[in-house]
Amino acid sequence: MHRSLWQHFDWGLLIIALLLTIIGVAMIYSATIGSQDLLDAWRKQVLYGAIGLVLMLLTAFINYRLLESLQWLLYAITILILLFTLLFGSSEISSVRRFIYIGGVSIQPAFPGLLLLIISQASLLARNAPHSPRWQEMALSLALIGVTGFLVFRQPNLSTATLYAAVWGAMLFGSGVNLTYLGGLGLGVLTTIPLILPHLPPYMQERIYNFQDPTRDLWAQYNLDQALISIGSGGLWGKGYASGTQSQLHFLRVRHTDFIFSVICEELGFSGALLLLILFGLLLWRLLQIAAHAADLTGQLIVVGVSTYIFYQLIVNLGMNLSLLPVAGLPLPFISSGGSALVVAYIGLGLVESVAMHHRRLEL
Amino acid sequence: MLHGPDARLRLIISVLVALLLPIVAQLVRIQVLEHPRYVEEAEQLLRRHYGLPEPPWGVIWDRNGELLVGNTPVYAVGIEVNLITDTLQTARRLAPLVNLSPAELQEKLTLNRDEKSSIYVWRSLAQDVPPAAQEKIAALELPGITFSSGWVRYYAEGELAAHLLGFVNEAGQGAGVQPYYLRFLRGKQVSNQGEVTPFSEPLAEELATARTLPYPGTDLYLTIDRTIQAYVEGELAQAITEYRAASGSILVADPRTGEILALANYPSYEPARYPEYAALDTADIFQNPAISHGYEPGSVFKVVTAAAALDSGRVDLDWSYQDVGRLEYGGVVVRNWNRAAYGQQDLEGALAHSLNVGMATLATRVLGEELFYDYVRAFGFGQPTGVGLAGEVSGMVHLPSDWDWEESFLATNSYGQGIAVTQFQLLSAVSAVANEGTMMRPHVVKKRRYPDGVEVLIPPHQLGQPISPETAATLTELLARVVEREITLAQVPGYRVAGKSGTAQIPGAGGYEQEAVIASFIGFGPLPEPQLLISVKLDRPDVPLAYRWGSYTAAPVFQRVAARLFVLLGIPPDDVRVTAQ
Repeated sequence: MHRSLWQHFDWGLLIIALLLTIIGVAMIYSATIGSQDLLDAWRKQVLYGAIGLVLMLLTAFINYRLLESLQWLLYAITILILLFTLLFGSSEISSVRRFIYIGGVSIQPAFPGLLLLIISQASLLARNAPHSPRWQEMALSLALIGVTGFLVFRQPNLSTATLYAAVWGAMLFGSGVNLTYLGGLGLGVLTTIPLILPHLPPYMQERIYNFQDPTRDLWAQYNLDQALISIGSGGLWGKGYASGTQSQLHFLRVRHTDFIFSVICEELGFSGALLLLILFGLLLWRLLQIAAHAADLTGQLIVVGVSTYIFYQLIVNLGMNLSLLPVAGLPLPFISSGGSALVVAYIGLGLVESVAMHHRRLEL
Repeated sequence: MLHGPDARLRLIISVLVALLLPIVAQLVRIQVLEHPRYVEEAEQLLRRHYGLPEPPWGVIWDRNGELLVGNTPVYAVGIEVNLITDTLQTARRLAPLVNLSPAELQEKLTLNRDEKSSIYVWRSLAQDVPPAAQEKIAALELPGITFSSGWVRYYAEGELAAHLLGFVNEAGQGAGVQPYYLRFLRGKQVSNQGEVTPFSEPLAEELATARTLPYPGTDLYLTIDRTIQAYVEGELAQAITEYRAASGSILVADPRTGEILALANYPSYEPARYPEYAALDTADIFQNPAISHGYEPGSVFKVVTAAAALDSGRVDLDWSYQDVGRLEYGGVVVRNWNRAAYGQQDLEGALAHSLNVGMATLATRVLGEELFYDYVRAFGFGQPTGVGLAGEVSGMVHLPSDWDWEESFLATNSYGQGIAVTQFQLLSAVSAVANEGTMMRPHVVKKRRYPDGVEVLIPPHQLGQPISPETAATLTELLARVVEREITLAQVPGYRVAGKSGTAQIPGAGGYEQEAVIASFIGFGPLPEPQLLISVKLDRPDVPLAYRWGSYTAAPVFQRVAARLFVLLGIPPDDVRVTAQ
């Protein structure tokens, strides 16, 4: 039984994730060589990668249909942790309640919360399968995402709230909802908002950003300029590993987290950046394969949700690094330094593996 | 297989891939097409002008190693304007910390038309910011803020010895001992163009290849004693009040070495706040009158005439003349201070009664032009003493060879009229009398200490020997008797002292002023082997005319200072010393 179960484990997905993590650790090391207080960042990343790997395998082993039966419990947990964050969360700015500290480790509950939400949404949207969701499912689904999304927005955390919206939009669309055009429109709106924002008059942008996200600080534009100089001066082949002047001499800030892509571009050049994108492309291809071979709509929607979760962060992060999108605190998945984000991404892949491994219909 | 949703799956994937396309396009644009431009920008960021932290200046200590002038750290605050993203916010948060109004600062932080395109626009925001304020500014964590550390002078004793310590301004000019020894006090500062961090600090590799590194200044140990200086300044202030003088100076020196132990002037100033005086147009106060103002010394100069007469060998203690109260020479009539005739007088009498006629007799009948002015020159008049303070003048001595020479000068100069001297010249001249005929250069720096700890002692310097030791001994005895006979207010209980008072009229536009005088006294002791030489000068004392004399005003000040300093320096009274020997 077990052997047959692991037969369908998607090794390609795991290997790609591990390669991305290794690249991440190497770049974090390069970006923090000269920073006394960050010397441990790459070791921590290795540790969290290992924890993530274990949790991924454990998650993969659990039949996602079991989780499906717990959808209301999972949803209740999501609401609870988001409420808890809103009430007792903290950050460097007192009015922003975004993180929870457990034993010295900071966690953004919005990310694990979204994973749980993906499961309950997948179950809900697939309730009427093989037929399309009816208006009841759609209305319930909208209510569920509306409550959670609002709780995140109120932290306030605009970028993560848009991540919630994007994930839900993709899942709704993937569920085969009859009003396909509505779903498409919704997806279109959600994805174009970040694209048109930079083209609004500056004062309007300023108001939007500062109102929605007081964490936006005076360094933001400075760092966007530095990121462009880093990326541009990297050229085709880069300045060499651990040899980027922008990152090594600290012209570039938050270089090991949100702006690590700029470090990659500076030190490894266009070739390195392209290699990274190809790896993400392969990841997307594996996810597509697993979704296509999923046993049921629930499984398929889980994969769609997790894929959107990863790729929306990727696109927003790269867009920020390249000054295509406004500043948003979303990490580069599997690469950026940050324990909880890495662990959550691995658990997400665990869910996907669970779908892959249990791709046969229930044979009870 | 679920065929319906499968199509939608492909659509979702397509959307995600489509969103990656602009990212790749942007990568190509920035990394490939515009690569050269960004390389240049990165290079510009990296290679900028930097200044290594200014090394501290040399510290100034007194002769006992007490701090007089030190350094306190300050910061110059600047900002790279092109890095500011929110001018309004930045101005609002920064303004109170750099002493500007938000509006002023906002204007400063705004790029003008020419600067819009340049990548590096730096403006200075504040100078001499103390460390506490600098920390507050740094805590704001604003982009583009730069700090460069420096020092300002710290005057440990405030106003004490202001004219001696002085200051140096931005242009390297100033007053007192500091501009004179600037090349020692000021260390080496280094500023260069090279590879820097975002905070405009040079990289380690940059420093490794630098040809010179900054080093701190050399310390100076002065000859003055902080305690004596403070005491003398107090005595001067009291004298100024008591005799209602406009200004005044007291100098205390060791005649054996020429070391200045105290230099007090009134009025004085606070060197730390020199820019404020300059701003108020009261910069005259920086001048040290004891070296910068020539004045007619009056009767004190009779010491020089008597020394010349004795040393020439043409006069001895048995010499005498008939004082008829007047002497005509070169078209002027010389009279005594009270217009009286004193009859038969010897040298001691002429000095004790301070007889102008007696001195003019010596100069015109005994010495003659050549000999008299040889001695005047030998005593150092007409040239700076080289005391080592900024702003020393030469005074004015007319010589027979000068185009504007008048014959009568020989007569009037003999009792200190028609000649301009500085208080330091007089001090150094009389030091020859007190020091067995050898004139020591007055000086204020005792030793230098280099940053590596090497100490260089500055040895006493002989300016010359204008008179023989015998002449010095004889004259000292005469001057001691002068004090004993006539200047009772200068007598120091328990100590024998020698000295001479002077009361000079003040030359104005059309001759001498009617009633204003400069009252002075110069004396030394204890005898024998004097260790202290004290010169007191009070300008325009405003006391009843009958008391408006050096012997009534400057003499008692000398007495008080000498009495206290003998004790302070641990010199036992005469009878104790004689017994001990």
